[in-house]
Amino acid sequence: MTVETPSRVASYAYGVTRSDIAPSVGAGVAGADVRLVRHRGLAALVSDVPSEGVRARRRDLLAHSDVLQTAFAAGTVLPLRFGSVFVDDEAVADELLGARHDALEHLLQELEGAAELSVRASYVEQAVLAETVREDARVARLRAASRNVELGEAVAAALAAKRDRDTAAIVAAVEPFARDLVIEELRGPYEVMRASFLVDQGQLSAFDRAIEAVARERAGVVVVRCVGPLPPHSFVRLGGN
Amino acid sequence: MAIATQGTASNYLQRAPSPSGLADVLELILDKGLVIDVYLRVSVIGIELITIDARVVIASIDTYLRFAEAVNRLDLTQTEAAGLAELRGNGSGEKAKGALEGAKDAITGNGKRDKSRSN
Repeated sequence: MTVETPSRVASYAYGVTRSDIAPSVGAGVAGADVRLVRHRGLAALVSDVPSEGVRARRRDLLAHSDVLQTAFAAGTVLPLRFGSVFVDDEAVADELLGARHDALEHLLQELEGAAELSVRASYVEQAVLAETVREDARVARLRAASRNVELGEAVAAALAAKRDRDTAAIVAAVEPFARDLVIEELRGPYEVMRASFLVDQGQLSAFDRAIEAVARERAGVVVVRCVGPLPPHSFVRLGGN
Repeated sequence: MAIATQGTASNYLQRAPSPSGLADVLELILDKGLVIDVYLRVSVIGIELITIDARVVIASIDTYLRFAEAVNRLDLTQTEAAGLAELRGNGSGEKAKGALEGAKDAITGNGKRDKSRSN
């Protein structure tokens, strides 16, 4: 006779919120139902995953984000990085909510009523290069002389200077409406800036108006993408972590 | 003028209330968020993450040449820009060149044959 061994499950954690908030969150990673694990006023958003792990697919990544986004609509949420799995719910209560109770509580207080806005600005290649040729006599001269390495170097230098000016302009325009900001690394030669801003809910529309205005000034040359309000993914650092 | 308006006036701000695709989501949940010592970390397989530090990339001869090529191809007076952008965007510059060389070869071949026939 064989004993049926139920497939063992572990607890996948999405984020931490307050235990008095009851977000109605649907399916999470691997399609499992999301529940709350509560401990001393805190609650973790959790769902079952096979204890041997899951192969994360596109839909799992989107599910992690969706769960946090949905919970965020109900109240303050501290997002965990994708892929955090605990042995079981008890471990979530002890190792996450218990062991870091005060730090998490402090972060929840600090981030109450605030949202993250993710801002990325990129150059329209043809437009910014044309602008560079028009503005920079040296670039124009080297272009005419077909001196390619020097030309490319001059273009890179001109773009770097332009990038600094455009970044400064965007930051200056929206910073008055933000509580905090993180400037991130660029990932391509035509990116202008990547940054995340922490904005109070009450300042969201002012922030929006400011970013619209500053983006309009560079219409045609710079495209700005602004995503949010998001849970504060970029602003949840725990001390000593 | 066409260059200046390409990409443009109505398109200067993309405003999304929530992450609207994998690209938005990846940078939020893989690089950010609380990191806790956990029992297991789900690995992300099959999704290639291309992270390029632009500061490194920009300071290379290769990039200089690419910038130069892009600037040389600019037609500052008229409307070729959109076509060029399309070519580059598809990464089909190579393919186009290959096809052109092929055409040149064929013409040369014909030329030789004509020549030998006329002899």
